[in-house]
Order: sequence, then C-alpha cells, then structure tokens
Amino acid sequence: MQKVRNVNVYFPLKFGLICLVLAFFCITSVVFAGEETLYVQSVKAKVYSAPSFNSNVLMELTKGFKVNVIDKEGNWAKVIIAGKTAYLSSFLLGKNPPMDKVKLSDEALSVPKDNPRSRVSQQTTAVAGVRGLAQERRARLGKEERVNYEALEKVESVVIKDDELNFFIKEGNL
Amino acid sequence: MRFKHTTLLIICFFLSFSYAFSQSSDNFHERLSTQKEPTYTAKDVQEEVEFGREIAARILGRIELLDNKALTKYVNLVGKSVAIHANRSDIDFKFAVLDTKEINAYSAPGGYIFVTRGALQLMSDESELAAVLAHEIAHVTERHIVKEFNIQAAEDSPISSFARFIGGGGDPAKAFFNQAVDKALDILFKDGYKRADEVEADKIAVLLTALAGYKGDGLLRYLQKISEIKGKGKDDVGKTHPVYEERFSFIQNVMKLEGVSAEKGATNQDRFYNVMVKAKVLK
Repeated sequence: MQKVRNVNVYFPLKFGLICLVLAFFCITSVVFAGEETLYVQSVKAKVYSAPSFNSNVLMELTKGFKVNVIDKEGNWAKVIIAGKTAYLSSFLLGKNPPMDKVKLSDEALSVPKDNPRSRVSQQTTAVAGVRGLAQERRARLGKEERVNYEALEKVESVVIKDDELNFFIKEGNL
Repeated sequence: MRFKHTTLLIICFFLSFSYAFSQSSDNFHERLSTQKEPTYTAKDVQEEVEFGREIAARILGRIELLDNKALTKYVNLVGKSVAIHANRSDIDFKFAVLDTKEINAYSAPGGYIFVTRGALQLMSDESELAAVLAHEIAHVTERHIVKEFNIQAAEDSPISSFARFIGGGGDPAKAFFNQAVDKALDILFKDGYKRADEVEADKIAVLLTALAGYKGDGLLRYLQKISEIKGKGKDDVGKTHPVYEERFSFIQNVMKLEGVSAEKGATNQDRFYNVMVKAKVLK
C-alpha cells in the first residue's frame, strides 16, 4: 500500500517536469529554426493582408527595414509586423542590408566642353582614357560602332526630385 | 507500469512533434534560400554601371534620342514610380525615348532604359508604359546581360568576377571590356536574351506593375497589340523575344498565382494621352 501511494505522489511532479523540459525544447526549436531575418531591398515595399496583390495594403515599409519571415507561401514572405500577420513579395527582400545608391566618379562622367561633334569623339577618348585605352586600339578591339555621349549626357541630366515623384504618384492614384 | 507507459508516450509525442517541425523548418529555410543573395560590392556595381553606360552610349549611337524635355520627364516619372519597388535601390535608373518607329524597348546594365517612339504610339495608357519599363527594369535588376558572360572566379559570384575582370588593368581586360560591350549589343539588337531571362523579366514586370499600383494586365494588353500587327513591326520585338502565345499564357498564370488583378489599379489614360499629344508622339 505504501509503495502505491509513493507513485501517485511523484507522478504529477515528474510528468510536469518532463512536459516543461520538452516544451522548452520544442519552443526553442520553433524560435531558432522557424524564422529568418531579411531586409527590404526596394525604396518602398507594400505590406499586404494576404498573399495576393488583390488584398488590402496594410502599410508601406522603406529600404533597409528588417523583417522576421516566419514562413513562405509561393512568392510571398509571411511576416509579423506590429503584432499582425502580413505578407510581402519575397522579391523585395534580401539577406543582407541594401547598398546605398551607387554613383560614378566625376572622372568617369567628365565631358569636354567644346562643339558637339568633336565632343562625341573626345568623350569616347576620355572614357577610354579612364580605362587606359587609346581610341584607335579601342576601335581595333571592338566592332566599328558609333558612340553618342552627347545624347547620353542629356539622358543622365534628367533629375527627378523626390517631391515631384511623390506628387506624380499621388496624382495618378498609385 | 502505467507511469512508464504514459511518460514514454509523452516523450514520443514531443520528439515526433519536434522532428516534424524541424523538418518543415528545414524546408522553409531551403525555400527561403532561393532568395536573391547580393554577393557584390559597391565597386562591382560601379563597374556594372560603367559597362552599361558604354552600352547606352552605343545604343544612342545607333538610334537617335527623342529630345523632348516634357516627354523624357514623364517617362522618367513613370519609370521611377515603378523602379522604387524594384529590389535594386543601389541603381539610379534613367529613362529615355528613342526616335524610331520600330516597336521595342532596351535596357543596359546599370539602369539605362530606353523605349521607342513606335512602342509609345502602340500604347493606350500609362499602365502599358509602366509594364514595358518594368520588363526592362527586371533585365537590369536580375543582371541578365552580365550573367550571360558566365565568368566566375573561385569564391566569387559571377557578378563580382565580371566586374573585377572589366575593371582590371592590362590588355586582356581592355579587350574583354570591348568584346563584352559588343556581345551585349548583339544580345539587345540581334540574338535576344535567354528564354529563361525573358520569362523572368515578364514575371517581375507583372509584379512590379502591381506593386506600383497600376492595372496588372498592362504587359498582356501591350503584347496582344503587337501580336496583332502584321509585318515588320511585329518582327522587331519577335526576333528578340519568345513567341507571343507562350508569353500570354505565362503572364496570365503569374497574374492568377499572385492575385494580380486586371480590374484593380490605375491606367491614367488621360495623363498619358496628354503628354503624348503635346510631344507629338500621338496626333
């Protein structure tokens, strides 16, 4: 009789202890194996209520924002933000923080200031010079090709300010 | 005995649960590991931009720039509205219009994007322009031209190796730089991208257009119009892109899978039309 009573006393204690240890083991495996920290790579990243572009946009994250991805559904990363489950297109996420915008050096962008016609050829030489390439050697190495740096400079001279872009986006209901 | 059995049962349950979860977690990590991993430096990107700049100058050497400030600004605004949602915020995208009736669009590494006057004339609204620019942006973000060279030194990504190669000193590097530019131009004007690259660009274009807030079927509508053109205009795009029927089917599938709506989103038809008329692209 004494022996049977002892088993009944220790059973709940042992049972509870084993459950606690195993529960801790399970929880830690969930925490350490089930999440991955990723960073928003785009300038803006819309966060959706479901893994679909048809769902509601909950908020917009910005470049470099760190998210903990708890699962992936198709091309969507499931995240928890501000206590809510949400989804981001996994196309916008990367394992490393995003890089700053890269700009070319003034040397690479230098343009001789003279008449447009010679400007084209001189700019070709100038860029070749950056790489240590004489124009004639360059022509021999590559195919004969007309190069228009004057037009390229026009393309590169277009500057869109942030407030201009924001106004355009707002005006177009984007 | 009862105690031992119960304990054994509980242990088995927890171990099974842990094993099952760890397996699913492994799969989860495996799935996440397909995430694009940028293994390049700012110097690599600089080399990429310089390389693209040379290609852009040669594109402009072949086809004249349509030099209209209001039109160029508008195309830049549409392009940047899309590009802010792309996964490469390290690139300063530049957009311009080429003065040719040929229906096409081009992109050079480093973010130089061109759309032709002929392509603009075929478009009905801003969502179609956004989709075409998004397709070209995708070629840049995924580095399709750079990857074509398939250079990979030990412990380097193909991108880093390529950048180091073209940025290096000595005659081999100089010769390679020129050959690389020539090959890039062949891809753009003659051979086209790899089929897989075009498919990827179509998919990303659909996602980017939707992320930007445009009606999601812009690319589909634009391509359907090209496919209906008879003669040379159709060949301009057809010679460097996969067959239309395959593209339609693929784009429709992407839209369905990602929940991209053909109904929801902006088209901004009036805004597009006003700019095109003022720039005399449309009458």
